[in-house]
This record gives sequence, structure tokens and C-alpha cells, in this order.
Amino acid sequence: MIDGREIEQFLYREAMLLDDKNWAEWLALYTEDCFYWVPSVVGQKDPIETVSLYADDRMRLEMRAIRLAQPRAFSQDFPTRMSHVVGNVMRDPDGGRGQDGGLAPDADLVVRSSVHILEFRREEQRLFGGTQRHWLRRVGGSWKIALKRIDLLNCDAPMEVVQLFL
Amino acid sequence: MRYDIETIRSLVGSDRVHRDVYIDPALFELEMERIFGRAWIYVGHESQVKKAGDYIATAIGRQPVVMSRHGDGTIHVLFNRCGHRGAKVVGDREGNVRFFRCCYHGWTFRTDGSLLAVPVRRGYEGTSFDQSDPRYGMMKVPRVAAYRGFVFASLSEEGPDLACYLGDARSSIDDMVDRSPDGALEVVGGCFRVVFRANWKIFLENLNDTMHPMVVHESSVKAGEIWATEHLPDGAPDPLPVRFTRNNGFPYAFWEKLTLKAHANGHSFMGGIFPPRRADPVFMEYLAAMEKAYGKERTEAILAVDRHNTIFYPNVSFQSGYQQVRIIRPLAVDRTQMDVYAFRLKGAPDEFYKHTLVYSNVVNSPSSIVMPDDHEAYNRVQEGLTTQGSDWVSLQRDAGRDRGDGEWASATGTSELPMRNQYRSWVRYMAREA
Repeated sequence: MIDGREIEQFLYREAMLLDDKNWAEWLALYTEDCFYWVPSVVGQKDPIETVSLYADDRMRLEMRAIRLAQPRAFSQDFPTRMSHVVGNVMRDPDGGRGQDGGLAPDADLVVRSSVHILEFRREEQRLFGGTQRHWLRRVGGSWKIALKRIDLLNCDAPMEVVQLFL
Repeated sequence: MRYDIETIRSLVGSDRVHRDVYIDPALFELEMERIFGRAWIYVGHESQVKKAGDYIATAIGRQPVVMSRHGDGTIHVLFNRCGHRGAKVVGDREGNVRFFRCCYHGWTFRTDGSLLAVPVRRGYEGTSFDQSDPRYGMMKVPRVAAYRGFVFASLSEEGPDLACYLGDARSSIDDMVDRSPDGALEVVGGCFRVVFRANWKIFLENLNDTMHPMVVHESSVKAGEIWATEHLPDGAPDPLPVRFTRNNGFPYAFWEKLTLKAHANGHSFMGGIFPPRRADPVFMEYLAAMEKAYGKERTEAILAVDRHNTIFYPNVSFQSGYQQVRIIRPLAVDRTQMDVYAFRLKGAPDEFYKHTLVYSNVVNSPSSIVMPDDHEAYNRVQEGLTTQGSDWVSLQRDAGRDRGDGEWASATGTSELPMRNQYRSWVRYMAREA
């Protein structure tokens, strides 16, 4: 039996770690074989035939976190701030079918939620939002993210660079 | 301010450029007319319009255009404007149609732009309207030509033909296509549209600027280095994301020795920073496919070419090693959009193609780990130039030491020759000599 509230708390905690820029603990929520995927077109089938905004394995996620910690990450001279709101959390009605980009992650549960991300840097505030899906695996006594897919409403819009994790 | 020819000439010296060139909206307007309105502008690749009726909507300068494949197989570049009252006909970015239909009064157009039908024709009987007059269709842009599948267009009736315009720099397009065992490329789905707050020329200058990577990209160089130190045994080859980041941190001695070549019409290229030959199994599989297609000797010759960014002035850059094409779309004097497309080498192994995707993501995506620091630099140049600190931007590195005439080699790999070369063309266009 899966405790719905526990799943919600897990997603809220992820949002908190992202807002706090606590990359180490955020990365600890992900499995070693994880994949972090933000498609560049609506209804994207896979991260192969079409380019993606993010198509990161664990190595690339770790490299991003290392970069953001560098004193000479000039584009972070004025550090980006983010606020995530996660809602409409539910078990994915289709079990994530057709959404995993053919990656077929080893997962026990697929959760669908809505996310709104407010971002601010230097002089401009931006809003991102859309549907996110988490493929969760039970590891030991806790949940881990095997695959996260975020379908942004503006995935194919012209945009300025996005520097943090969504 | 109005610019006469003498004033325009005075803005560019042999080794310096006046800051107004980057910040004055009046000069930007002139550039749209005299550069983007005259030069050959890259529009798209033929694989983006494979079948009859396929189209993509894009722009030349700031003017919306449509590139379409007509029923007879020909490719057309049309102004995205209805011949009736002027509405933009095509609203979506891409698609397939039997004919274009204007949303306003239902005029329809064939995919070569000619007028197909007008509702209730009798209303035009006895008027000066002439159905066969191309002005009532979607007008073709004055000139369209392709080189090895890459389609360019010019808004000017006059000027050199495309092959002549590209000149010897077109060997970089050859380099891109020849790397395909089938000798053909295919566009990858999706496009990165990345916007920055700087003049379009600042990006163009950066493409062959070999003194910036080790400074601007320090954070991503460190990311690659630190990750490798923490995770890889000594002597292990760098995984691609590490290579794509840490190579920017090569010592000055490496960049000093790099090839920089400048060509007529503002084009230029720099030598490679990711050796095209590798020892991994995926590369070996690719090598076998190449040798099967071309033979050993020709394959050797193709892979001996080692180039990073090639600039075709004024709006496109090719990175042939990882099959990336970046299109510059000037939006305003201080705002530019870059459209980035990736290409698949037909006939190459699937795993080899995945390297292209890694490059796309690490280097060219809006969420690239490398690019944010470039854009920070561009944006700061734009802001810095609004000050009265000095009127001049320096392009003096290795000035006076360029060798050649019509095609130039730099004294060192860190020369500012490519930028000086761009401004040689800028003046020719802006002073109406080209």
C-alpha cells in the first residue's frame, strides 16, 4: 500500500531542496542510473530523435552542480533564485505509459503533478510551468527518482538561458 | 542620427570599431536594409522540407518568410504575406499543406507561392486585379540557391551567386556533409531558440574568438575537471560532457597554435578543439562505415580536416565536427535570437549520432552548462558600450600581421583577424560597395 501523503511530502521536499539550492541533498533523491529530462517539443517521444532542453544522466547533473558552485560562474554573479510550487499530485493515470522516452526506468510508481516555477535574476522575473512526472523506485526504506520528465508549457519558446534545475 | 557614407566609414578602423555600431538603433535599421537585405542569408536545410507541401516558417532579417517544397520537388522561399491585404499567411512554425490559405479572406496559394484561388472571383471582374500577377500571390524572395542541401536566400536581385559568395569557406560545409557515409545530412527534430540581450555582431565576433574560452568558461572547465578528478581513474579518456567543457581550458599555447582563416565576404573559421579521430569503439564503427563508403584514402582526407566554428557572414555558423548549425536572428539592436539545429550524418552508426546529441545539450541548449557564461559576456558588452567610457572597441590583437589578400591567415591562433575581417565586410555593405 502506497501512502499518498508520503509521496506528496517527497515531491515537496524535492521542491524545497531546489529552492534552497541544496544540490547535494537534491541529487541524493536520485538513483545512480537516473535521467532528468526536459523535452523541447510538446508530446516529445524520446530524447533521441528530438533535441531536449535537458537530457541529463547523473554525471551531467553532478557537473551542473559543480559549475554552479564555482566562484567564477560569471552568469551567476547575480545568483538566480527560484521558487517551486508543486500541486495536483496524483498517481499517473496511465502509469507513465508512452511518457518515459523509451528509457523504461526500473520504477515502482509513476507520479504526475503540476509545477509552477518562479525564477528571478538581476532584473527580470520569469515563470515556467507545466506537468512533471516522477518515476519512483523504492530503495531501502525510501523513495528515489529514477526518471523525472518536465513538460514545460513554453518548451519550444525562444528563451534566455536557464541555469538552475527546474 | 542620419548616417552618410563618410560617417559610416569613420565608424570602423583597421583595428577598432566605434561603439555606436553596437548600440545605435538607426545603424541597426541600416544593417537590416544593407546587410540582411543584400547578403546571402541562410534559411534552412532541404531535409526540413522533405515531402511536397512541407514548409517551415522563419525570417530573413526581421521579415517573416516560408521555405516550402513544391509538388515538382523544387524548394521555394516566399515572403510570409498574403497578396491581398498583407496578412501573414503561415502561422505555425512548420507543417505540411496542400496549399497555403490566408486566415483573413481565404485567398489560397500554391506551395510555390502562386495564387491558387480567390473567393467570389466575379468581384474582381473589370478591375485591375490580375490573377496571374505574382504580386497577388505569396511573393518569392528575389534569389534562392542551395549548397549541398543548405538553402540560402538573398533579398537583393543583384550580387554574386551563392558559390562565389561562400567562396573557399564553403569547404566547411563540405566538411560537414562529407563526414556522412551517405554524403547527406538530415535535420534532427526540435530547435533551440536562445535569446540574449546583445547586438547580433557580438555573438558573431565570439565564434572565432580564441582568447575567451579559458576566461569566460572557467566555471564549466572546472566542472569537467573536478568531475573527472573525482570519478575517473588516471589516464581514462574523458567522457564527452567532460571533453566538451574542459577543452575550453586548454592553455594559451594551444590556442596560439590554432589555425584561423579569414575569407572574403566576412567569412572565417578556426581550427578544431576536439580531435576528429578517436580510439573508442563507436568511432571505430563509424570509421568502418566511412571506409566502406569512400575507401581508406578519401576517408583519411575527410577526417584530416579539423575545424571548430565556421562563420558565414552575416547569419550562420557551422560546427562540422558535431553537426551543429547556429542561425543568427537579429531582433533589435540589443536583442538577438540564435536558432540552433543539429544534424544526423546519414549512414553513420546510431551511437555515433548520440555524440551529436550530447554536444547539442552540453553546448547549445538554452540550459547548456557552457553557454550561460558566453551570454553573460555578450550582455555585459552591450551594457558596457552604453557608457561614455570610450568610443572604441579594440580589435588590435595581432593587427597588421594578417597575411594574404582575399583570403587571410593570422599570425597566431589568438589573433582578432576574424573580427577585423567581419568589419571589412560590414563597411562594404553599409557603405553600399557590396
